[in-house]
Amino acid sequence: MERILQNKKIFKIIPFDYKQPIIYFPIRHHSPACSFHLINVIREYEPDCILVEGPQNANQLIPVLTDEDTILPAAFYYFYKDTDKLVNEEGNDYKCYYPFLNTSPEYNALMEAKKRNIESSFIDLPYGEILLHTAENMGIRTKREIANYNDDSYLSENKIFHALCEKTGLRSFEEFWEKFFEIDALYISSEEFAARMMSYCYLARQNTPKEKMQKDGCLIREQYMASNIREASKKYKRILVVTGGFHTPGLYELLGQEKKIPKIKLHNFSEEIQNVYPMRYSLEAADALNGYAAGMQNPGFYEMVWQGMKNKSPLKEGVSGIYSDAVLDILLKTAKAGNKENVLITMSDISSAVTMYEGLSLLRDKKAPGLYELYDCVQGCFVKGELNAASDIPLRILGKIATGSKIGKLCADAPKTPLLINFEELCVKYKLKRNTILEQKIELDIFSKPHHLEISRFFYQMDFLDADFAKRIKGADIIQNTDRSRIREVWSYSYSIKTDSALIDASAYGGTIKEACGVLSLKNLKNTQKCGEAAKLYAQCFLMGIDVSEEAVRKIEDIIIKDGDFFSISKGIYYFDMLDSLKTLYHIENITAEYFLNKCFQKIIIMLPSMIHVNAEHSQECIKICKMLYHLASKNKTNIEYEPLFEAFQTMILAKDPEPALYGAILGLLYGKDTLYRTKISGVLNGYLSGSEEMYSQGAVFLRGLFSTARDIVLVGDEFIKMINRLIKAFSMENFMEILPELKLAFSYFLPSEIDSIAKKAAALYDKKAEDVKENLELYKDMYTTGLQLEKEICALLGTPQGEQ
Amino acid sequence: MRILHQMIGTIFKEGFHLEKKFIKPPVEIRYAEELAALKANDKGRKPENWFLSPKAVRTFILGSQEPIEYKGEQKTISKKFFGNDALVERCIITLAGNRGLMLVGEPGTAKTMLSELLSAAISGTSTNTIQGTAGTTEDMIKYSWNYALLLAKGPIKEALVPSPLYTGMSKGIITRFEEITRTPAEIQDSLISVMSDKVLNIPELEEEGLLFANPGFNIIGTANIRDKGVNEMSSALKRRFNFETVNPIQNVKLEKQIILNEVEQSAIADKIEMPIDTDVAELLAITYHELREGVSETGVKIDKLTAVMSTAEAVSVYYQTLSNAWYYEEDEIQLSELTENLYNAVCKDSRDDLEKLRGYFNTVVKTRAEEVGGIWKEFYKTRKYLK
Repeated sequence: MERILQNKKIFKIIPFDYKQPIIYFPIRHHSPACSFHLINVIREYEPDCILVEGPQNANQLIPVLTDEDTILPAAFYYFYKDTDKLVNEEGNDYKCYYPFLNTSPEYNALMEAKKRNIESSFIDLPYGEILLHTAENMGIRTKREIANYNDDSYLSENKIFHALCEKTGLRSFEEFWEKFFEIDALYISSEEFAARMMSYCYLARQNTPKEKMQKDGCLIREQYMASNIREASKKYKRILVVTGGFHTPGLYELLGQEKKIPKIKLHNFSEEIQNVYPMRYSLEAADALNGYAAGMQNPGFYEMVWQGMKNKSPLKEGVSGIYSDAVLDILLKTAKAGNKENVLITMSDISSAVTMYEGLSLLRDKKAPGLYELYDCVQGCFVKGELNAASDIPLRILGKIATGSKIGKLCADAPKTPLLINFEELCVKYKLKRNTILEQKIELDIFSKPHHLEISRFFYQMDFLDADFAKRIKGADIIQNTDRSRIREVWSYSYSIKTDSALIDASAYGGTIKEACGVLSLKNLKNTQKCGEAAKLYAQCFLMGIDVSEEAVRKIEDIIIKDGDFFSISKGIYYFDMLDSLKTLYHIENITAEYFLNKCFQKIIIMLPSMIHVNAEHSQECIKICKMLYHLASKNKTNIEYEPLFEAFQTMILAKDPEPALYGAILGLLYGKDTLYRTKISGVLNGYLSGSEEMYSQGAVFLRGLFSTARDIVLVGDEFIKMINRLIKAFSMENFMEILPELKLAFSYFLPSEIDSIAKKAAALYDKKAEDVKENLELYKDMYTTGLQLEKEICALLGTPQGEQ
Repeated sequence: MRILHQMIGTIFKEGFHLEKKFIKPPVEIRYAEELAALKANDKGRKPENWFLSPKAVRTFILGSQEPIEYKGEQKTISKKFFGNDALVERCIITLAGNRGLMLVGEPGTAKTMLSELLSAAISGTSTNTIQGTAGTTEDMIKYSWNYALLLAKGPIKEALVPSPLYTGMSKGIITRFEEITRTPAEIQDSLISVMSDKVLNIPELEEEGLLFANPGFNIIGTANIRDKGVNEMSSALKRRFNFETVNPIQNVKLEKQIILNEVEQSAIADKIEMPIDTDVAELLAITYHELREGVSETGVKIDKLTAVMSTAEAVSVYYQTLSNAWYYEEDEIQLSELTENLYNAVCKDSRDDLEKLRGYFNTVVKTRAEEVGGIWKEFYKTRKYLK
């Protein structure tokens, strides 16, 4: 393997000679070995200029990154807003991160340049330009949860290295990399290391189709970088070029030619369209295992290795022990944390683990144990019994420790958006930890402590900005209408890189978080045409404690007038009514909810009669809305009166061919107001009974609607019991089986005691006792639990809250 | 046992080919040439009393891509254990240390085969074995007595009948303990002092009653996770073992290859001269894989069977079908018999599995028969045998 990676032919093609005016140092992002040898090369070569791969529009932020008060991990956060639709017709916003860790060669190159007081700069195309030259779903436009500027997939996803892994018996590219480039690197000279990197990258490039490089913008970026290098070569005599190893052969080829490199014309984007900000970053987000394409797995482990390299300068004291020390250190931390979590890890286990990682490194011909031996020894010696989700706690602990939980900090001079400053101020004000990725929990007594209500609003605001900071675990959910009886809220919060980037994104909307939420909600409102959505936004503002502006009030009013969707208006009524009743509890003054409620009520009364012909699929929802309107009218609110509603109901029952369930429900509601409707109801039911079998079926549906609003009608006298008896008798067995679910649903509205009373009356018709006709099926706990679970899963699939039909 | 050891010793020394005399030859005989070749070329560091160095043990089990020279010939070391190379490496290092090795996993995941391979490569023998059952007693684990001698001469060394554990300790070789969790917990615990202090106390022999383990001694246990809860190991004993979970093979291609290799070996041993059909092996590998994972290649959800769907079971189903075709003088392997054998293998534990198997035929096999045709179409036609 070493022979393949020390290919002398390749070294001849791309020489590494300190006498050359330009030296190309190939790197892998975040590799401590690359950083280590890069620093050696800088000491040896003494360049007068260092050029680093990275979007050029971040050059002004180099002093922030290299400031002694800046603590890594940190990142540059780039954004580009495609308002002119140059990328594609969708006109999306694009953003990406360029993270720097202590192990990053780019960072160490810039730090060395600062120490030596020499020129350093980024040489790649600005972010927006890269996007414009990249095909959809390729390179930087690949859809990922966290988009990054740098990407090592050319090196890790190359087929040649899959073959090499197979041949060497190594599990993955990462293990291959660690063995031959991280651990081995400490035992070879910097020149040998550069040659090994060059061979590796050259082979990777040879096995990559040119078309792919063209499509993902690789070639045009190299062209731009090459032109910048040539430009610099006119001014400087000793230039060190630090780029991802994959680009090195490409750059060398371009600059090796005497030909002119065509200039790339850049767009003149304003700062609002394209900009870059520095921000804190976390080791967790920089972990390849969390989807960071340029990351190394478990960066916390390699940070520890890097620290070992710095403490124990290999040039003077030798390199043995750097990896072993890091492995032992993390092993001990894992054992300690395991014991805290009640996983018994004894000294004997630790000693056995040490024997194992040392033995494995020898067996695998590794010069020192690494991350993979660490995982192996924890699995072999700390996991007792079968490896499964219950027993793998030591491995999970190890994963956390090896990834690291560190969050960076920017120097005082770093440019910050007002929202970031406001966020920090509010965290201090509310005594919230903002520098931890560990989940923090807080219980808020929002109705009795004004301070807690403020924190709740702050969390809702952060949630509205999609900042991935706080999540409500318990408490009333006004939006989904669940757990409304809870008077406390429990939130969990923790920092994630999305927190800072979301606040940077939202900076355009205001100087404070509250102001930004207000402006953003108005913007969203302007894109809405549905009353239900507008009311939901209104409810979100309510929870965030944001006063609705006059402009927003006019807009909502306009939406209500124009919206012709019955169900959307009904959603509006639900939200406005609820917010109106909660205003005192939430200390919201001057709320316009009642005004909107009246508007919606007036509108829905007009629409209501036409709903009597609604299709069966929507009849249940319509019944629910009618019941809601009925209860609303019963509340005696100002401007909401019974009369118009009853007039609408009366119009509905006069219609031809009504939907039977809704028809039954409306008659039931009218019966609730005026018992004289009993005669009308029995007449209608008789009508269903005197028709064909199809009419009988409709009779069962009618009963379902009727019982949903006026089940007491059955309990008065035995007239209805007799009619139901006639209805059931009229069915053939086949049709009865068909209609049975409908009847079951109809009777589900009754309480158990009412069912007893009905059974008694039904039995009396046949001279029997209630016990003779009632089937007492025992309900076992398991059956009930299974039923509940089933309901939960079905609700989750349908996206409806549990308990709703 | 002694005769067997003598035979093995002769093979290593002289390298002659032993005529087959066993139904299932032990690993050290089956791979005698490979072991001898590795021994001759072994320059690696060895723990005391090991037959091969850890690196050579690794090569013996995981194979080598480059042949080694032995007696003027190029000898290729075949790969014998598939699926997880790192697990094998961990096992070897565990056995070089102070702790025992416990292999746990579903039935049929080659735990026993791995323990045999490790024992053969480390100690030169894989037959020093205790078979754990509900009837295993402490005598069977430690030692017992030749009662005629005991009565005649009293408790002397000659009257002692050594157990495999005793033999392992005195000779410095591996003792295999199969199905350890089938043994009652209090019997299992008799291993604790042996594993901690590496000494076996024989009070009857008085001053001579201490047997100190020689270097090279260790224990490989195997336990079936389906037996979990039957005789749960005490935590004191668990602490004296490093555990390795052997999972079923996830790669269909690999599973197919194992079926082909194993069936071929058995066919040669039994002088069945019928070609092995690779398409049938692939069909069986896919079927077993999908029924085990509960999902088809195209993502269709399948009811998981309660029966063990191991590669060993797949090999057995194929081999049974092949034998059937051979002895009843059929031209080729019959898919109808394959389905019947599959049915017999699957429906051992529960009749519900038959319904699940039918469901598999009516969804996945049917779709594949329509889309791919060929052997899958024929396979679908055999669903009538699932009665």
